[in-house]
Amino acid sequence: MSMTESAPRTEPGVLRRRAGLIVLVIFVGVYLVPVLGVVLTSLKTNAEIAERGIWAPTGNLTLDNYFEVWRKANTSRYLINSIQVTLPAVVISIAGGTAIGYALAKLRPCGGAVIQLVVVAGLFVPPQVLLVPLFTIFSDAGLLNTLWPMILVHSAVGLSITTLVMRNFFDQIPDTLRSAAIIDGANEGQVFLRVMLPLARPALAALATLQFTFIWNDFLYPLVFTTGDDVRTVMLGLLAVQGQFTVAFGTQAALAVIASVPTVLIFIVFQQHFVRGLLAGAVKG
Amino acid sequence: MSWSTEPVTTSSSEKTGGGLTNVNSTNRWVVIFIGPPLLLFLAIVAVPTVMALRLSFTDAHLLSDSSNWVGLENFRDALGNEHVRKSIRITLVWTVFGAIVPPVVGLGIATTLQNTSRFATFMKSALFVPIALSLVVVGQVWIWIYQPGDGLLNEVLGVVGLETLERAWLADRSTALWAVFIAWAWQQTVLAMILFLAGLTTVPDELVEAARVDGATRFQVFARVVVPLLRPVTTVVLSLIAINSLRNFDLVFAMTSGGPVRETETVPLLVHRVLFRELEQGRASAISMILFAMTLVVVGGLTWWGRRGSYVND
Repeated sequence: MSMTESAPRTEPGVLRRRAGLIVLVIFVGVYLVPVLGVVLTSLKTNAEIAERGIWAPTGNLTLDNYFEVWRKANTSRYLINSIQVTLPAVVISIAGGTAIGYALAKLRPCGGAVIQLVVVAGLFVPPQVLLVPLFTIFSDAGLLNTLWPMILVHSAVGLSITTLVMRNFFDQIPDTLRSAAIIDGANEGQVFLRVMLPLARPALAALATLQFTFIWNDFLYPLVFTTGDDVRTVMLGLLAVQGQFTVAFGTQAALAVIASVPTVLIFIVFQQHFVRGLLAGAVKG
Repeated sequence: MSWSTEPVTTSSSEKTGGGLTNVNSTNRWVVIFIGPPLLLFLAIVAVPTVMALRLSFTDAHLLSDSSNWVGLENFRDALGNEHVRKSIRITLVWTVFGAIVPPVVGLGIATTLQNTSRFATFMKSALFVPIALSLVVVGQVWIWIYQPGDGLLNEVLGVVGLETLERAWLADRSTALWAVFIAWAWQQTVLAMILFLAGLTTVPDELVEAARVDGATRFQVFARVVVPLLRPVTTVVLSLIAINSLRNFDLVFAMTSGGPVRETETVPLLVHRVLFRELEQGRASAISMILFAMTLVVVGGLTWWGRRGSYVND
């Protein structure tokens, strides 16, 4: 480090780039080896894994594990359940947070500050606090072992972050936009749907990425609120398969890959949105 | 008219609203916008939180219909119980190291990767993948890394001649907690790195250049110019990671379920055990309230720290 001080200008640049490359290579190793290890394991036969070890770099590649986990485990059911929980909860939490955020920012009702405080404070409530009473409530309502608890909880819990982000977003939109539309004869609903929502598209994309990843990957709520195999989401199913096919690592890896594809794809496509969502939520926290 | 520039107070917004539409209709829209989602939030989050607080003062049990008010007894019991204290200690240690390791490593990597080639840019996006993975999947990979027989860690130790260090990392009482922590830090480092990379793009080049011209070393520029400017992002990173540390359930459950011998039982796992194995709702609520209080103290402290330093001078 200290030699850079007196050295000619180009040399530290070269050194820096070289140091950067070395860090990059180590980092790639530490992060890609485990990820590729799972993918490779999913493509090897369980017999071969048993013989040569999980991390053996070679082997005959086959898709058998994927067929097997599809046939022998409840994989398609798990995936459908995950979709049935994730999509409604993403839509409800974002729609609700957008509506609250817009009303707080632009209609400015009295007591708005209190409403915002209550909703955003939800960010700091650990899920374990909610589990105790919710378990009894859902049990009394006969909703245990259905998908409803997960849909309801994720929709409601998500409102904290979506309200915070959308409130901050709509604060930056000038009030004149709304009043101009209203002078032109639009009602509040039309202003919201036709003027404001199109403007909010980037913020909505950020939240959608964040919420989808979060809800799809969750397994605490399904673990607590379900017992039957038919209502398992894919992450809980993965845990069940780990117990059911204890030494069939190839089969486990295949389901892990299947379960990860949606979030990884969404993440690669909407990466920038994800970052913006995280930052936006906390900038004015 | 002036409503576009100034933050309008409630009374003047009613005035402007009244000029365009009438107040009653605006109120009706407020109810339409806020009512349904707020009801959902109150029913699933706010009211249950209050119920949990009430339960924490009772001896409620999942198998019994009646419960008695016991005041602070659950809290006294919890704080006097060695298992509870151990869980609190584990969670606090986890939070402290969580606030150090992933942010420091993440910032280091972000700084190194900041201005590298286009190839690096491509690699960076590939490296973001772990953050999209569920903790169940992360747990599975790391179980395989720590496996006693053909686990990657033991194989690597064997190759470099450190066979004596080989062990069943997750079953060994002295290493289990740190093994799980490292798996967790592996993922959280990516989170920190992503946010710091975004933060670094907001540091103006002119400032860095100016400091260099004034004779500051690269390290001085980093420590005195870049790091202070990153304070807002740092607050975000630390708050997110602190919340993730305190809530940590998924990864520990997937990797060790709290074992061996409760050696990795974080507070969230303890709540789960007390509620679903011991069926004691009252005690479980009290412990969850302690966790809630810990969250408020940690995040409150971080927010205060972030606000205090929002102007760049020490």
